[in-house]
Amino acid sequence: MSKEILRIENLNVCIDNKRILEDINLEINEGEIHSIFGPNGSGKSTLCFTIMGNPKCKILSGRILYKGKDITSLKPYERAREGIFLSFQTPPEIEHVNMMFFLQSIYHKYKSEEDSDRVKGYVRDIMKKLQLRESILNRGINENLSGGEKKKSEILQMLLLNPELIILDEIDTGLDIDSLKKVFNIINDLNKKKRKTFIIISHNQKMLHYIKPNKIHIMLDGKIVYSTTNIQEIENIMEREGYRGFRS
Amino acid sequence: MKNMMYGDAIIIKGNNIFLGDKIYRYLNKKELDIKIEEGKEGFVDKKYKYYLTINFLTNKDIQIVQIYDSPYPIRIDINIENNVKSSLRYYKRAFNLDGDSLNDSVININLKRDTKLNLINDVNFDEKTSCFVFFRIDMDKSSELNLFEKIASKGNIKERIDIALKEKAKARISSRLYSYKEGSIDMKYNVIHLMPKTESKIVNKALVKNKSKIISNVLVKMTKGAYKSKTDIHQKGMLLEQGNIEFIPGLEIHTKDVKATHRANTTRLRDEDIFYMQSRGFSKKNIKEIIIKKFLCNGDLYVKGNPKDRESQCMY
Repeated sequence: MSKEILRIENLNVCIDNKRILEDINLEINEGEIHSIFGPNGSGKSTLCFTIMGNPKCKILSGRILYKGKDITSLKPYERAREGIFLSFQTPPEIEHVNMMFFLQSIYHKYKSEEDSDRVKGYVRDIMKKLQLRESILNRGINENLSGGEKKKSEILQMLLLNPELIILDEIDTGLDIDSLKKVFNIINDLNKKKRKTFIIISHNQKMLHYIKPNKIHIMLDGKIVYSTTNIQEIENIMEREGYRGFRS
Repeated sequence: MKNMMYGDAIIIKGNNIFLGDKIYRYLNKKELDIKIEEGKEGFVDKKYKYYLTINFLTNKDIQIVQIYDSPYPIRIDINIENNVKSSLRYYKRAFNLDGDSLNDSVININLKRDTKLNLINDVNFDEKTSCFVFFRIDMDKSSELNLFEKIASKGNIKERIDIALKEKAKARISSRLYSYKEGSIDMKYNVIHLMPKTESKIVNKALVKNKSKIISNVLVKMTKGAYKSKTDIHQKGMLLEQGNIEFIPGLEIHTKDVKATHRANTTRLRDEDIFYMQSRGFSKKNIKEIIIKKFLCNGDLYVKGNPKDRESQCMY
């Protein structure tokens, strides 16, 4: 039997005194892929930020358990060190911190024995695989990267950090078709070979051509209104009626 | 003068000036010439405790370490002879002078024809000390100056740098200013292009923390004779916490056919940047340390070639 990796209980969250998430409940087992679909502004990204511990997201009630441990009050960096990773929908550009330095620091936090040249080699290997230009290593973090390159940079960081629970917030936007296939191949590989757990957020059901989630959730107005293991059913409803089909 | 094992360093400390063993060798071989006079009248009616003259006769790489454990004023004159290419690292440190005000230091630099000087001005005052340093740099035909400044202080530092460029002279100034714990840094750069085909580039980076203040006032003047000259001023500031950064760029152009640009921007460390880095396992304290280090270290490092110089261009 699979172990539970994430449990969210009755989570209510507000940002700037405005309630964004309402009574969210979610259980995810190790090695599963969960997809959350919803229209723009439905609260998907707020859910990601709350799991990662963004201080902007004020928890009014409820709790988040990771591997049975209550992480509701942990700081974002503590959650990251526990093995949670969030790929941002819009990664910020931090021009003053060099990308290579940042990647090396990320890696060393977890594998301190590795020497600098080996880490650089490892970074370059992944970049080659993702078809990322090496010149970005000399810039600031995500500085002047295209939308697609930013998403690839998130995947690069994910591979370096080697987390256990991976949250991908709209990883499919900005990527061209070839890159999309490549990224989803990596995700499928990590899931099958290393039993990594994924929460994949999207508002585009075409993503289901590349990945087969164990469960799909539909979010509307800050609530999970529908959950199913039947991918076909979701595809049919969305094709027919869009998100209106889930409003009852 | 005392001979001690300080290698290529001239150490100015309290009442004494110490010369390193390498410096003595340079003097014996007449590769370098040093004169020290005491109690001479100097700039703006000040009486200097020391008046140190250094003449670079051949290509040399030396350092001056000035330890302010007493508030004596000093004047240093540096002459670079024709065709000589040299490096000078100038370190200033204060000890046990909390609350004291130091007297002025004046540094006159004369770059003769076809010379090159890589100058590192490194001030680190981890005390509530005040001081004023005045650099006057004259650049003769086809001379080249790479000035890298790094100033970190919780005291009050005032600095003025006057540079005059003659035909085909090139001056590049790159500064990293870091003020913390309610300190203040007040910089004034006056760059005068006197003759044609001269070039200057000034890159200021300023970072403040804990209610500190940095003022950087840059004035580049292109005189009538300075046609076909170029200048570029770039000032970048970052507020880590509460504080104040004031950039005052100025261009005075009295001739046609020159190229002059300036940019200035100040940013604040945003919450979203902090959260992003936290989500990769860095604590808030860690992030600030990284930002300080990288902001003050990154990019436009002018003094190339000498690894020792490159290394010392980083603040920490």
